[in-house]
Amino acid sequence: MIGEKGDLMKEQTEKLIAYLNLLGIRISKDSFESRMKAQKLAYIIQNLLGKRLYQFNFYVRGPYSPELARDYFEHASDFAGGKSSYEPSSDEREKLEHAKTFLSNMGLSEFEIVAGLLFLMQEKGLNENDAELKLHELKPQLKLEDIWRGTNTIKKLFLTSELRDKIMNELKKELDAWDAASNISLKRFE
Amino acid sequence: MAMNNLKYSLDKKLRRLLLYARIATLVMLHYYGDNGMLYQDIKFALRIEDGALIPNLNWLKEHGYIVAKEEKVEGKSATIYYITDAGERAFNEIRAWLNTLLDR
Repeated sequence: MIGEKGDLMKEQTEKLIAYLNLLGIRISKDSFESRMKAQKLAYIIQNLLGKRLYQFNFYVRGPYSPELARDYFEHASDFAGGKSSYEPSSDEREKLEHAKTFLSNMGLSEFEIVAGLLFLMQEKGLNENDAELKLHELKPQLKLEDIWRGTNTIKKLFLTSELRDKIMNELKKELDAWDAASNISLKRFE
Repeated sequence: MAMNNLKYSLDKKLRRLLLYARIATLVMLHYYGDNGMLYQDIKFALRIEDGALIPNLNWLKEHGYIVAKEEKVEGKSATIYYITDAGERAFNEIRAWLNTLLDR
């Protein structure tokens, strides 16, 4: 696809705009809040889908990609208008439809917490508790209860139907074993 | 060249940028480019008090290295700082000067 400046829009940019469209989110280069949301959302999305679209580093406000920043300034009207020729796969659609429930209502600070925790877990290999403590150390202005809420959001985000089915199957197996055991016990009283 | 004289190899006007709050602000704003940075983020990153930061931000503004814009962020009024073209030029000149020192 040819971008507004006549240059070829990169595949990763096309993909990100298509994913943002699925979430019902548009990015305006003229708003600081919108630009920061774009940074955090892009990081969350690429983790949700297991795809590396941009290289991120951890800076003052958490994960940040200068390359993505260049993209939303260069292709500002494409980001603002949701213009993309990329067709997300059914798997991508399913994951993002699930995530939409949580992401579409989140404020900037929640995005920062979720993206920050994800970065510390994914890139630094920290476990949940260590990531929470590290984020609080890096950003002491954040309340611990907000960070904990962020961890819960991550759990909800990554609870896809596939994972949910797997957990339910495991639970069913356990419940079946309990049912079988209780049936044996009941027969003893019959 | 004696260490004391090294800084005099830099342009006199640029020498006045060689203060922690000024140069560190310029470096961060260079990195964030058109995205800009919130006042509280600069303060947090530099770990300095308002009394030390504000006069230096004002100095950078008055000399045309940075600009400040007011914007609503999460429903509240916030000051966002951006590096200017003059700021970028100064940053690049200082970086080149530092590189020549490292190459000595």
